[in-house]
Amino acid sequence: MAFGISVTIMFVILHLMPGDYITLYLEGIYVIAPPEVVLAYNQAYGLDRPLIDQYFSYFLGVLQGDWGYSLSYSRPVLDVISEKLVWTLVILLPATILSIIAGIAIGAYSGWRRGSKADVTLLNGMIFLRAIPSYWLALMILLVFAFYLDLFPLGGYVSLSALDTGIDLLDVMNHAALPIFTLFFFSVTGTYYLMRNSMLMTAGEDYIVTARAKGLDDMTILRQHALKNAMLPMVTRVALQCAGMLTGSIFVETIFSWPGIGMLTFEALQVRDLPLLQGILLMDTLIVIVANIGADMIYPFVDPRVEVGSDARA
Amino acid sequence: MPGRNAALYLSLGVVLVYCAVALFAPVIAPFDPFVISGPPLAPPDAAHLLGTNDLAQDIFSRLIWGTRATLILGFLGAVVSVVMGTTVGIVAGYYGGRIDEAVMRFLDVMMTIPFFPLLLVLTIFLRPGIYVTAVIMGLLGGLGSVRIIRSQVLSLAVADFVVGTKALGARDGYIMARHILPNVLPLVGVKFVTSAQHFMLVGIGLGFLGMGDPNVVDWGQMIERASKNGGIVLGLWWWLIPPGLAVTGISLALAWFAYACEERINPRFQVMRV
Amino acid sequence: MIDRRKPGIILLCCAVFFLACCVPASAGVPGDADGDTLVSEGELSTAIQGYLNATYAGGSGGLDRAALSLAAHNTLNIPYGQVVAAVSSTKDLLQPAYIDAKGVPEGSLIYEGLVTRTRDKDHIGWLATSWEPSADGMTWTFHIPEGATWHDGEPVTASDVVFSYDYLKEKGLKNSGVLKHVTSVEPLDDTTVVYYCDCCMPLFPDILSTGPGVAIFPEHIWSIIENPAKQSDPEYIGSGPFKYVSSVSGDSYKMEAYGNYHGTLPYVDKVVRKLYSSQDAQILALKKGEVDYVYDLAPATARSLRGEKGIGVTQIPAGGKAYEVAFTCDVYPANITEFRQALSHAVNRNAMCMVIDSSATEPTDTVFLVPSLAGDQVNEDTNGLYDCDLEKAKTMLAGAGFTLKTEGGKNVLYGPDNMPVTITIPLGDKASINQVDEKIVQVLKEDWDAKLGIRITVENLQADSSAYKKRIGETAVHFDGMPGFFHDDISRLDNFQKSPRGHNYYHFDNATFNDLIDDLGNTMDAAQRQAIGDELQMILSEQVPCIPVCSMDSFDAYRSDRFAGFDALILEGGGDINIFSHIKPASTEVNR
Repeated sequence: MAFGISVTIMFVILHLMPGDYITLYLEGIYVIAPPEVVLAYNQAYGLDRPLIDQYFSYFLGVLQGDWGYSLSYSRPVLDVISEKLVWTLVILLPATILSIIAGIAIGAYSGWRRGSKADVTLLNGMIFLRAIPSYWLALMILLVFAFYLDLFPLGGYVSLSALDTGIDLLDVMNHAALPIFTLFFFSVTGTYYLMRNSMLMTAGEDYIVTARAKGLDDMTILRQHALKNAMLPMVTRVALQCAGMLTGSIFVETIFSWPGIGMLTFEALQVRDLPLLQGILLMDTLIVIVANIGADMIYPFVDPRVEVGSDARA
Repeated sequence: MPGRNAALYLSLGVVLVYCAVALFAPVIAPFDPFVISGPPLAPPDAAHLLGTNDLAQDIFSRLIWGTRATLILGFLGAVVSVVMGTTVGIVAGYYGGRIDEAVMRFLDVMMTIPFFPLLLVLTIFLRPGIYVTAVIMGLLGGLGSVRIIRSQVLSLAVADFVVGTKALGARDGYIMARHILPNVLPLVGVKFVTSAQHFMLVGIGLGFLGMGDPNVVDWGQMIERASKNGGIVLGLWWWLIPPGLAVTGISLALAWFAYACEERINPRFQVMRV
Repeated sequence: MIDRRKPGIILLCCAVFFLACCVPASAGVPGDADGDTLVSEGELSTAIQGYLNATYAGGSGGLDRAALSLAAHNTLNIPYGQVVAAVSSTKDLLQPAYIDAKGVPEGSLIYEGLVTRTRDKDHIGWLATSWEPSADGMTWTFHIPEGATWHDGEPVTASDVVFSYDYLKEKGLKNSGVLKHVTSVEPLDDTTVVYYCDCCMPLFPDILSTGPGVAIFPEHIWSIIENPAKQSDPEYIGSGPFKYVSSVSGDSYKMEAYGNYHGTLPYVDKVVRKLYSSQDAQILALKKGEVDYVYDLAPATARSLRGEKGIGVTQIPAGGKAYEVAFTCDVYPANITEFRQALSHAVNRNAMCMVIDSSATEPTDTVFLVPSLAGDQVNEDTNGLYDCDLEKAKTMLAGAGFTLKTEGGKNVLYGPDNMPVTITIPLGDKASINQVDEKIVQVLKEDWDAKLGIRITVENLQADSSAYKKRIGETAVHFDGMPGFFHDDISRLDNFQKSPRGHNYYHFDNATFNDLIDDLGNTMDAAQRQAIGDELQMILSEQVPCIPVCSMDSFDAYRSDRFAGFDALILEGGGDINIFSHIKPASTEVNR
């Protein structure tokens, strides 16, 4: 559904564009595009048919994997994007998982020990971290860790040896370390806030108060009762955070020259490759949707009261 | 928590200082931010507190003038976002039923489209100036506020005093304006501050990606210029660092301000999520 | 080959035996004693002696084993080591798609054109060994060497040259525009090919080798490629000194010296091009030693690298671009000749050079040609005509029907139509490298906007070259930043001719000028050409389709502790075949 709407938005934008992009594309190849070629392209893309017709064929095309043609790469958009998607996931997944684990752990602790010195320090630290503009932080991290301390490569995703021996996992991880680290920084604050708030609510619930009154050990209550319940609302929220991660990856990948969707976005911006940008937006939307569906599927495992199929978000 | 009031006033103070700087930029800045004020890439000295950039413009003056664009991006965006969020949120929450259902479905769908990439596409397409950018950000970012305000209104709509007023025959518009709005106002206030912070970071991010309005001085474009024109390799920290610190400063002040307010209103609200 | 030289080496070994002890290890290329970056056989034997002495005597001094091997490689010209060059966009990496716009990438080291161009306007053979025009300059004959082969071993023949031309024409590729005056290409025999043109082309080799240059590609590979927009040759079979080895998508690609190359073998064995997204990242990588060569540096950046240990910087006078303020001569107010003439006195070249970089720029006092490149082809009578004098400009504007008023403390210029004059200047494309266009507009604003009252707004299209190309035809003023060599010869003045194919960049259309350019095209005699050139420049000085600003030096930086010979023969873009064929490894570090 959401996908349908973004496809629609794309279609509208595509057709409001000044000058059609087929001509633009052909101008890149030919001195003067031969009329018969223009005609052939127009027919291939259905530009000579009524608008509503075009809309449906565009929609169908998108569903069938025909996302248009990138002007700067001269390749099908989906081709370009799917090649880059892998690399984005290489840094996005570890960063997300790390930030969820760390955010939940620290957030739970902070919320449970509300008002303590540790909580105040953590909270202020997180507010601080969140307030720093991500791109600037990434730039500083690059300068300090890659150049001055020379601990990591300056950018790219493989070292020169890959030209002889092929892509090596360890080498890639060495290149991915700083981007993952930076991306983790961006997203851990969000998870932390959510978890801390969730924990604050849970800590006030009757059963926790009861458990405490029974004289149970503080840590046991946290582990056995509070944590489990506080984590429930986290599942869907974390999925929604995905969108934020995608934004972060645009900056991180650009600064660290990581060849994923984020850097592709930046490059497409540089050359104003609108079809490619639209494809990227569609892909970003897809990622968020998949993350949401994933969350809905996980939910029943975390909360036995909900069965798959019922509205988890209600 | 000790010092919460201090944090509140301190952060408010910082925000006010930024506003004052923006307002009095022509008085404070020693140079016109656009003119040639000396040799290019000069290091800091008495005349140029932060040296000059590659266009021979005074960096300090640009930093001062850049406050304006940043505050406009943040606050105008936040106004749009909050006004939209409050209006739609109250209407949806108050009437409930089909209207609410429709609004919420629409939101569910829109929320899955990532905000920033969509903003980028729209920016490319429309080539907006700074004001239009702020409005677009406000509209897109306002979707989140609708949710939060609506859920607050939902519980207010069934509260005794609202039901009572309704029974007395008051019109819906009256109830919404006189009874519901004042009750969500604190929440709206906090949301305003967090949105402003968020939009400032996003707006400056646009500048950093080279999507800013070239006829306006903003900190994002300053960082971009510095990082693309040798600020890093030449070690010109006075060019690269101050805009970053300036953004961090205002962003931090707003975050703390929002947090302190939030704790005052109701420690249970979660508006930090933007 | 080694066997054949052995006796000589042994002889020389003996001859210089007694010198061995007094020759110190060289600081540059190992084994090179006299500093000419060449390791002669004599020098090699000296080095060998030193090595042997050190080994037998158990003492130190002389070269070690690896360095000696490097010296031997240099002497015998056996390719050694690897050079890593930084590129700044994915477009500079080998892309299959490259083919659809221009033909195969001629600056890639893999593919060759017939001739290439040196910095001093001379042409040297590339694939061709020699060439000669007919007396009327309408036919050009090229000879390609016997025994030249493609990287897959197939022989390079005249029919490949014919095919390359036919393919560009037939598929309507962009590069075919460069050869618009060629009517046909015919083979005479296997190694001789003739280009027939429809007019006299005295500078035909120039056309073949510059902007963007026309490469020759193998018929046996490309004849089966129907649609060059969708398919390409994944093996990149060319005839250049380097052949394609491997690539990592979006990151780098690697080439190695082609052993059967028909010309002189390069000294380096492997060339890698690696992507760094910003110039700063490239410089940091150069400092760290990840990269050996970066090009097109900003002057300030290049200067900061001078004196840095192990890094050399080359500065090529006027080797960069030449900039000018260009008018679109059919757009108001630039369509008023007096307006253009007036503004020719309102361009403060010195201030522009100061903001761009005073030590890397040279204000241009001519009407178009850059004196340091064009030499005596410049018409001296047209020099210094565009002096910066705002009062003169104001007077001339008043004479042309413009009125300067002061409103609210600001100057506003009213045009003959009684409307305030506003000009939008698009920024982008060639003039925006290192943001030079922004610097020019910065100075222009202070004079034109603040003092002459012309409202200037800037439209930043640096990212959008297609929009930029469209806009420069619609706005009255834009900036040109063509490479310096487009300002080096009177034949380049055809830039201002209105051709049958459409407008020039300036929308300049002067009947006398157009005719003179045609005359120039049919004149072989140097003196006659000069006379026409003088006249052309005189017309430009009166009509002012553009106001030259300055020419700029170009800067490259390289690891001087690893390579020698970068200073010679560097052309803009760093892609010239000569650089990587001539540099010599100077350290065993390059053998990575």
